[in-house]
Amino acid sequence: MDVRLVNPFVDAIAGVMPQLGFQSVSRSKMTVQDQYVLSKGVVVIVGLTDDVKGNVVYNLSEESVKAIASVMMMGMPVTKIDNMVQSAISELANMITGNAAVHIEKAGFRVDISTPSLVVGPDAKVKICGTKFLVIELMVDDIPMELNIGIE
Amino acid sequence: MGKTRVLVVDDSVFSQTAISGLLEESGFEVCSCAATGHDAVAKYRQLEPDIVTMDYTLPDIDGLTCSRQILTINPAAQIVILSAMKDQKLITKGRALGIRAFLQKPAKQEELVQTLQMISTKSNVTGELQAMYLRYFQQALTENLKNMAHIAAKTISERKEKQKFVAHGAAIMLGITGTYQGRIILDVAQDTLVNLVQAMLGTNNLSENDMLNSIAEFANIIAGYGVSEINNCYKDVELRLTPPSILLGEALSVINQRIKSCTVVVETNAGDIYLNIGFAGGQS
Repeated sequence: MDVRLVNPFVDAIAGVMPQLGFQSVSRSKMTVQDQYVLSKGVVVIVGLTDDVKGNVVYNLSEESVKAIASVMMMGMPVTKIDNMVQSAISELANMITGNAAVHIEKAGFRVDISTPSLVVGPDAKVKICGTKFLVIELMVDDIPMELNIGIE
Repeated sequence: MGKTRVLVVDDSVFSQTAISGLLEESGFEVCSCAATGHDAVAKYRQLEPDIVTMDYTLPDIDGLTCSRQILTINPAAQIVILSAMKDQKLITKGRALGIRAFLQKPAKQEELVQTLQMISTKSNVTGELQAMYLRYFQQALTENLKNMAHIAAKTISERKEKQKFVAHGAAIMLGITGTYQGRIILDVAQDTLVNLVQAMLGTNNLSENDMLNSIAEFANIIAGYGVSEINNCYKDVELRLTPPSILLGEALSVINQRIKSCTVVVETNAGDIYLNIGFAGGQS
């Protein structure tokens, strides 16, 4: 996978998260995988097409989802993953991927993104087709967040 | 807001009557019918309808020549070819002229009405897309099951979903971008997956990975056929697909609050296949 396509995601997270009320973003680990993304509880999938084709899978535990949604909703306590929380997390994936797409276009590649789909269910796993994928593990404030980026 | 006014051009009195009946039942106003190309051009000039349905075979000039003459009078004329013949040559020539859509006779009421609603400037396209486009993917599924797996398929039910689609074991999802945002899911239970891949490749000696890649490629082909057909048949619609991802697990829910979707259940001797298509509506 072209490294020029990775930095846009890192830059997008660094740009988007503070706007949503998060104080710090730190990267803890980056690895390459070629099998499955094992769901930690909630995954959000956004597809990419045009010059850059692939899928981005956001993988979060239920606790992370609730903590992130709470910050996004101005600190409102979040105890369960309802429609509003699902909408917030989908929108987060949309914003990060959309911002990354803008950075990718600045690097000279055209890219279009699909609307995010959120997947829940026990023991869910996602196979990103046709490619190895990069796993970026992040801490946003104290909340763990994982991005899986598979670009053909 | 007044009714959408339609001029029906067809040399058969039977077709004129049938098409007019379907449209009037669905709230359109059929302002007139014309049996020849020259009559159609004269009536278009006189009545200025919102939409024209155009047969290809007319006694004096063909439907494309007639459409060209109408488009000379009004380059923004909304013309739908509704003909017994719908081949690639006709579509290519018609699209170059500026025909909005191509339907094959006998058109089902739902198909005709949804198409006319979509191209009518008086209607709101949001929410109607999935029902209208579903049949292109359904046809692609049926044909490719036959061609690639020698499996006969029968649609046993069709339902509208709210924000959630519940999958059955292995769901292949592709995003749709372009003129409209959406997604397509081909979903099967684990044993159906095994049966299908075996029927396609003639072997059951495959790793799980090979099986998943095979079903993903099958879904990719179906989605590609459906999208190509829609892009061909509807002017100003340009859809693209994102690569497939496979969702595995029992009782998974795929949730998208912006998408309204339709699921068709197709029965085959390999097991039931669920095809879900959803659109978020107009381009953001």
